[in-house]
Amino acid sequence: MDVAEYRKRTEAALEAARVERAERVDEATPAEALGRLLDGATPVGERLAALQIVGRAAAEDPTVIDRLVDVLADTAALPELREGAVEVLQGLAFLVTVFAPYRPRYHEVLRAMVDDPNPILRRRALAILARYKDEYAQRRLTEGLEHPTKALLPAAKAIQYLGYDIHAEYFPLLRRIVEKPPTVSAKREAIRLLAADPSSKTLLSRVLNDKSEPSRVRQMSALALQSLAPTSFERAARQISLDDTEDDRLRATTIGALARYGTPEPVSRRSTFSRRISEIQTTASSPQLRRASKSYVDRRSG
Amino acid sequence: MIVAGARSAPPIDLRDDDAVAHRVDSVEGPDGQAFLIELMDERHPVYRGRGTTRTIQIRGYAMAAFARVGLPDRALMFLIEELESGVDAFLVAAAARGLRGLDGPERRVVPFLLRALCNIRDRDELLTFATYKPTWPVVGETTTALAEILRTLALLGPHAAFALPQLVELEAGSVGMPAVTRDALQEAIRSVQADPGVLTEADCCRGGEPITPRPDTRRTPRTGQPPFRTRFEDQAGAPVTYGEAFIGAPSVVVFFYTRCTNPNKCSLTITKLARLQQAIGAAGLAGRIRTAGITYDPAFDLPPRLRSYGENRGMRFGPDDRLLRTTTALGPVEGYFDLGVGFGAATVNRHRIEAFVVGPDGRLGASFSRLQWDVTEVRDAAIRLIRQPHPSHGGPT
Repeated sequence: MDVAEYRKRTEAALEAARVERAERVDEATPAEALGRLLDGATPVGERLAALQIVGRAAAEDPTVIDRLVDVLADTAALPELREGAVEVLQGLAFLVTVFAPYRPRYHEVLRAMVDDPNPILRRRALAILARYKDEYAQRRLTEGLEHPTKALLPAAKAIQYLGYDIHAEYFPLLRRIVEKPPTVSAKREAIRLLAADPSSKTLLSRVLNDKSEPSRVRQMSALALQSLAPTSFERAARQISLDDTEDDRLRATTIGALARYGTPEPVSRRSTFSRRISEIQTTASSPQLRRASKSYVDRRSG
Repeated sequence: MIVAGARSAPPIDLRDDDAVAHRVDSVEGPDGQAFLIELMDERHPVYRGRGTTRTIQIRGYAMAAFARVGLPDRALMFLIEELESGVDAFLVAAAARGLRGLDGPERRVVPFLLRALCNIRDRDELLTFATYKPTWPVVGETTTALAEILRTLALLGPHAAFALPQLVELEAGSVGMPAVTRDALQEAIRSVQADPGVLTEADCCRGGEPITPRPDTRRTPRTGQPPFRTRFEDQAGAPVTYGEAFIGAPSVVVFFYTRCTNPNKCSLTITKLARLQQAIGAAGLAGRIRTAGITYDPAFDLPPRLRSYGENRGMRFGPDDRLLRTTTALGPVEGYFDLGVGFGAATVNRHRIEAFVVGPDGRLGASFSRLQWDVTEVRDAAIRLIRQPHPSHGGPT
């Protein structure tokens, strides 16, 4: 038997055993499942299956939520188990009233996890806490952006999480990131959030009109400016839409936005701008641009 | 930016929130109380340019310190406001804790503690006042908003006896709560049932005036003249001046912004403004009393946002009922109405609830601030202005 065949058979046997164990666990009562979950000698596959059963039992017996938080808090537990526990707990958090008494301790455990050596758990903890506008999570995320040696996550991800709170004080920091970005993704995320900052109109306008900027960064600027300053956006978008030297994806974005949100034109101007947009349907080589042009014409004539 | 703070203390740099927190840690006596009261003002320079989370942290840290230095009567309203409408666990905990600085049990605060109990029970968090910027896991005392509310009720003892049914109901759902909350709950239940015979005569007299949002007609604007030159745009994008909007009939004016995330503040304010429109109509006074909501956030709250925000909360728009954004500076409006609002880097970081009745001359008639205002009471305050003789406004329209 060659190695590949041996590997295939072994994997099939392992999978069959896993399914059998999972089926066996599926038949377990919540109390039995809880026992297996907390028993370090039980194989990990069975413990993961037990985790799901325990989670499903929480609506009937909310006290198991504390046991799940215990698993999450146990830094010596297997990473897969802790990752599974956080997913189950997040599902249970939707049962607002049932979950409420347990939430303070759950969040306390998550706060301790922002320094966890496991990057998946660290990211998950920060994502959840940031959604609740948690002061500690925001402070640590901001600290990481200001001092990259203290970063808990890649810059783009940290910005995305900070963005869950439009009342945060990160806007000056975001403007600095746009001027001197650590990565293109970080710049794009920063621009996305600046859509909530009226003092960033000029900056967004400049990025949108700068042909040396990457297309996806300019696209994000277009969307941000449209939300923040529709008149400034429309002025820039009209120019970009008709400029054959511009990036096709960006033109498709601006034409699409004008179709949906643009000011209806006076009849005298419609003939010029709309005719030129209409011509793109037949002259453009980019299918995306042709589709955007057709959408514009359809909406405007409808 | 330097401030002297307490008279006996050296000046501190208000850009440094750690220095402000350090000062809060060290204040005492009447000077300390005065410093903490200054920090209760939304417009205090320490909050300028800061985000809401940091603002909450500074304000809450200062508010909790009233428990240590004593809570004077003039500071009471700030804490009551938070208990009535707050939804942030740290601030609600701070307000409940700060009440323990009262120099005796006051039963009039109990309804607000119970309201806070309802507001926060599904939003509670473990938190600490041991240090201003804690690192988790925290070394030192942790608490929760519920625990702080319950400890204050426990301190009130039999003065809070009528809270017992709600405490018993809370106990039924207490499995799973942190130990600190459960312990505080047990202590509160025991204390409110204590023998009222232990009360002294002096205790019984400390009921105090009921805390209600009575109209304040004595309030004077920070700037003398109404902002006649201020220009606005309404929810349909139509331009209107202050004079056009507010001269000729009494108006009820509220302040709000669409990005407010506290459901008990702006969203409820505009919902109540819509109810007020109905109440005005039901009294047969449509067209004789105007209603308006002015946004704190005019750069973001463009007409389409104002329109959908109002429509979604039941407002009917017309020449007498509008949502407005200033198209000139907000400052003169802010100054005239003496608005309790602070601004962060991009938007509002904190504001109080505020409603005003403006006379037919465009001048301030009455104000209702911090506590929830009552639709009928505000309508009646406006009706009284219809019946007043119409003085000349003396300003440009």
